[in-house]
Amino acid sequence: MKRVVSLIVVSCLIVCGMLSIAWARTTLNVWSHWADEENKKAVFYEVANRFQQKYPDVQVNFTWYQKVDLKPALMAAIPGGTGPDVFYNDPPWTEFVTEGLVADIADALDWGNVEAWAREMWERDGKIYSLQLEAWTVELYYNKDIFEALGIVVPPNSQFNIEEFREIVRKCVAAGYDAFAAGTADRDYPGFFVGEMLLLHKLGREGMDKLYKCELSWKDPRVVDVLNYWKELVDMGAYPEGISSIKLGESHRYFYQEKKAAMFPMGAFYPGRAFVPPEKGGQPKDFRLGIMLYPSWPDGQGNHLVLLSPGGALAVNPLSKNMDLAKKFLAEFAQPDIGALWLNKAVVPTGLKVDPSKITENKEYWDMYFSVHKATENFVGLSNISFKGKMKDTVAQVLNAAFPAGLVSVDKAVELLENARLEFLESSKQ
Amino acid sequence: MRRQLLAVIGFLTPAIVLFVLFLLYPVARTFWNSFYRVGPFRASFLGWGNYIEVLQDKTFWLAARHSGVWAALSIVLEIGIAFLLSLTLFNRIWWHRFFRTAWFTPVLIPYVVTGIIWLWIYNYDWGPLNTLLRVLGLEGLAKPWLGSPRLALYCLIVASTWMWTGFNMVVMLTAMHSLPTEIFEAAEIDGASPFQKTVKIMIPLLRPTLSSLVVLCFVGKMRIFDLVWVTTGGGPLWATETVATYIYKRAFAWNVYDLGYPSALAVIWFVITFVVSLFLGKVIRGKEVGYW
Repeated sequence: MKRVVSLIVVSCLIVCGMLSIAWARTTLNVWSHWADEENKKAVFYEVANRFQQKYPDVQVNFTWYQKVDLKPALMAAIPGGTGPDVFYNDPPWTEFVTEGLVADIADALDWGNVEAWAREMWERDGKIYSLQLEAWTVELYYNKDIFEALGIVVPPNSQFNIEEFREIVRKCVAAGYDAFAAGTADRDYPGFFVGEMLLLHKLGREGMDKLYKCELSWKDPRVVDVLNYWKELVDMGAYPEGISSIKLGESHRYFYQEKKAAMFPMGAFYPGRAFVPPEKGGQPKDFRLGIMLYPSWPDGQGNHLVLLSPGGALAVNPLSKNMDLAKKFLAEFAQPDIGALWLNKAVVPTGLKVDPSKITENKEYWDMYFSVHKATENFVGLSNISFKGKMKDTVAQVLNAAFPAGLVSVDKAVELLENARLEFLESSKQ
Repeated sequence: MRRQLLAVIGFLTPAIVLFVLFLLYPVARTFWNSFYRVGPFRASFLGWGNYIEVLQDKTFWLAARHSGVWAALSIVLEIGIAFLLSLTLFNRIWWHRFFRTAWFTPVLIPYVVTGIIWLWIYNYDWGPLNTLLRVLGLEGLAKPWLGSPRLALYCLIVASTWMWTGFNMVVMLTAMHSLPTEIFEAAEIDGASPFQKTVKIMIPLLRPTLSSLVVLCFVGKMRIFDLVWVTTGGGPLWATETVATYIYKRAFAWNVYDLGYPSALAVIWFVITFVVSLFLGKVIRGKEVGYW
């Protein structure tokens, strides 16, 4: 009996001791997207390990979400006082900045380790609202084997003009391929990649900026010119018939496993899905991948430009009870080797500065990528970030989904887009 | 007496607390929000501003039309097919127990899973529907079903009909079994045919049940969200936009933080649904048919 009582007392003391240790430790809560991306999570865990070694009294606790579920959770939790200390912030969520749902982190970290464009895109009146972790350019991948079989030779500067590009599309379709692998079933932007890049090359920085701000009419002759050209490609059969039922992940497999399309307009996060074992959905070992630039216009103002879409960023909850620790956690990310770790693990470009000599994995891919982009300049923006309200919804419905599926004529598209632009401008005045 | 009262209060309090917290307060708050522009930390009074904007919102009325069409067609399809199935089971066809289970099973599947199943069925490249059409030499009929603005809504109606017909069938079957057999025997003696017994006796006696099922069906389709969200997201070209998906987008997907306008949408839709469901219930119930 005595032994039993002693055992119980000792057990209780141990439990109480453990509880008091846990109680004494501060928990830093981090909510993030990328629940199913182990490579990106690995970077987070590495940063957390380093942070916890520096601050042994702090326990970093991750909660992983899918992006679509994370936003409503944050919108409810932060104003309600139950939000995390650090969270994944997405550039399209512009209302998070305008409505005060993110803290100023201008004093939190060494911005010398962050690319200038990554700092500038979150800067407002001297305050900075997020650390841009992920960024991806809009690329045009192609299947080298199919191109070789069709006798298509990519020029040294990796860029065709629009006449040549039209011929390439015609050749691909005539040979029984789709020119572009694409899927719009679960995303509101990839169907518009080709059109958007064509617009950027035609309009240049100033014109594209005005288009995104709804200051340029969709009836502008240059815009109509681009839509007419794009419609030609659509009508040739450039896109899969079932584009509306293909998801983003499936479009990857459509390109490199099923090999039904010669080209793949996709973000530079392509390697994140492609460079995994084929049995997990990655590209076959013998798949010969190429990258080229989108075609140039003879009168184009931005043929050298590439859309750079900021991807995931990290922000601090303005109501965090561990504000100081949260900022220090972000500072741990903004270290020179973390950018290289991100590139090596996640295989996606980043807003952190990277020493190219520290890139040790997928060197062939990165050499090809940097070679293609040696003369390009980035233009920060993408349809689902830059447009808002009714305009965003209309672009997603018309240009992302309906236009590449051949469901809408150029005239109808222009009518819908222009009406949405005017409605948006009207509602913005109120 | 006091003890009894305390006991009653004690048992009722948890339910009342839950009711107030999770039903009464959110509903009241939605009504309140609808008169404001609601940000995360502040709200500014707009009066009837949101409601005036709703009246001019073309996307809302398009979504309302889709929801109305969905509700109307579902009533006809679900109740009609369910009645035929329940009649079949009532007459004890061969393997009636198996069919009762088989036809009811889709009801047990969550909306999200149903959406994924029908996404696969409708897939253009490898879905069983198009595969079957190609095998039968009907390649020309194979379509991107959920990618067609003309067809997408009706494809989703098929999916929801598949899901809910079993529920209506089971309820009607139970009601049929509870009808007094003497009336049917008397009708048979009077020379009534099976068709006459069904139409002139059974259906009138089932009116209260039918009325409840029609109202449930109507309300359920007027608030449908999950199935659309998982399959088409309201596209293509707003062809499957319902009021619920539009409210969600206005609240969370437009990069604008304002919960006031979606609240106004919700209030207006609640009023419309409530009024129409009251009307439907009254019309279908009609005069109570007694059989004493």
